[in-house]
Amino acid sequence: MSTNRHLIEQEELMAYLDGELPTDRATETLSHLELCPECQTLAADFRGLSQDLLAWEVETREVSISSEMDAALAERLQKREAAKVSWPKVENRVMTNRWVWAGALAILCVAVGLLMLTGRNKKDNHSTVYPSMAPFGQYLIPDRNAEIAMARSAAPESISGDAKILVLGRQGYETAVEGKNGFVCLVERSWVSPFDSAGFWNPKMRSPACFNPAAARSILPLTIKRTEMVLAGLSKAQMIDSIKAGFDKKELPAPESGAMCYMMSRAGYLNDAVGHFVPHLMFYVPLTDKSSWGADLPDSPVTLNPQFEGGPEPITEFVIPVAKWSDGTAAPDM
Amino acid sequence: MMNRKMARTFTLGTFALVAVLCAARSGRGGDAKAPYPSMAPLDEYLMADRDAEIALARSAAPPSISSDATVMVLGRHGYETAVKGKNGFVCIVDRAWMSGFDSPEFWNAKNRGPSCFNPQAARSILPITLKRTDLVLAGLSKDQIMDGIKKVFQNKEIPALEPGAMAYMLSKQGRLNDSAGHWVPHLMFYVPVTDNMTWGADMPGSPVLLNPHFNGAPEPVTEFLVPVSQWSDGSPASTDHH
Repeated sequence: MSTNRHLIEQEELMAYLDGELPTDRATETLSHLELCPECQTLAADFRGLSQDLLAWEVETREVSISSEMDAALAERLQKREAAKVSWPKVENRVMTNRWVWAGALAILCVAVGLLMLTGRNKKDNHSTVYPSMAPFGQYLIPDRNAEIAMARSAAPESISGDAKILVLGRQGYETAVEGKNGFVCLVERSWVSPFDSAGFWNPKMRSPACFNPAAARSILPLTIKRTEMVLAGLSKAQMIDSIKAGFDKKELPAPESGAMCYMMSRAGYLNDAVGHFVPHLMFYVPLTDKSSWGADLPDSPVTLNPQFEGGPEPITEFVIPVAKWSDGTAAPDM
Repeated sequence: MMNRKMARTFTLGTFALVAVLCAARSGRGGDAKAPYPSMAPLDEYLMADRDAEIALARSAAPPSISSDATVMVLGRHGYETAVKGKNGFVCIVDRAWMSGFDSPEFWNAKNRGPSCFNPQAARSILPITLKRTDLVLAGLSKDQIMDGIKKVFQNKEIPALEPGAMAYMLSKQGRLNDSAGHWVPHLMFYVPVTDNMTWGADMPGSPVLLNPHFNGAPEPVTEFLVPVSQWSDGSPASTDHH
């Protein structure tokens, strides 16, 4: 992480997971995470360690303590209270003591060091977090109404309320609700990630998106196409070849001018590292250099999403964070 | 913290835009109340300090973008290149005549709209600015300017709108109009003329706004705005908004 191969330092990654990075840097970090299995694993390790520490409680006394000892302890405590001895207040023993914090920090430092030492050896394993497709049932949402609601959560109700809704079934995406404003909302699955993403087969990923009419005509077909190929059991290489052929034969459309999409759901799960990320808009243009939008430059609000980027779809996707979730609440700290 | 600021920025920005649009609508009632009924003397639109205009133009985008951009400044004969760039962006300071033709501030000599066009917009949107400016400097009336713009589109003298055309307006030194001042930092996106609903613009809860200044009147271009959280210098927007 500290070598020049990575765009983010470990400290920044930790700050990112703690929601302390500025939005532009956070989106850059997300972009890097998308393509860096090593960083994803490290982020997951950090997060897991953090969760373990937060969940760590000092064990309560054993129930097998004898009644005599219990009584003696109670008597001793009573005497101290009577003597008005002040003891540290321990209302909740979860991480309230500075020594516990210090210990946790020490453990974290050791863990980070170990991860650094073993990083190279683990590299091969990092790419196999999700080495192949999980049983298809894991990608499905059993409750159809829940999937409809999640799809709608990608955009404000004023937009998604009149949108067409697609849900994923065993034969592919199918229309659950007909719309009337030209928008199409659905919950994308992990296989819309870049083909070299470590999370390509992550069955936990749920990515609510509402495509505007131009994107529904020219970007959504790519999601549909990828899904069909996944269901047909094609390998990644076969999928890439098929998509290339689709564009060569013009069976797949070029992105229409003005194609964009809303991703403002806080119910989503974009990947293991970022969870629901931040509410944002996405813009699709024919494959171009990211500098043509000033993306990923210092203080630029625009970030490149490497989802397509010629690999193989000839489309560049830019991301711009916005202030609120689709329900109107302010986005939480990153 | 960042996103709460963005929320405040967006909310305030929305109110400001509503105020601007309401002002524009009320201004249509009659010229008697129009504060800027005709063009002011040209000097009032010019900036005496060329370096100041270059700096103002660059303030539309972060230095990481604008420092390598071409910069144009307004002279007595139109916009001229002051600095040759190398990243394809072009930064200028728009004047009031880039407003909608029905805007009561079409001739407001105080307006300064710093903008940095990306390469696609520099090729296909900037020519509209240059053409309007040429027509203004030729002393034409609004109606004549509109006719002139219609003709250049009919004759395809202005390049077709390129996909991905967009612009930065992140300057807090600008003055977009009397109501909004520098307004909020925002990005602008240009698409062939379309209904605002195709982007969900101006819908409750939507972060997208329609800017009515082209929108087929007469330019066949629709412009959408998305407020962002920081000015070009990296400072948060909310505390500076008025």
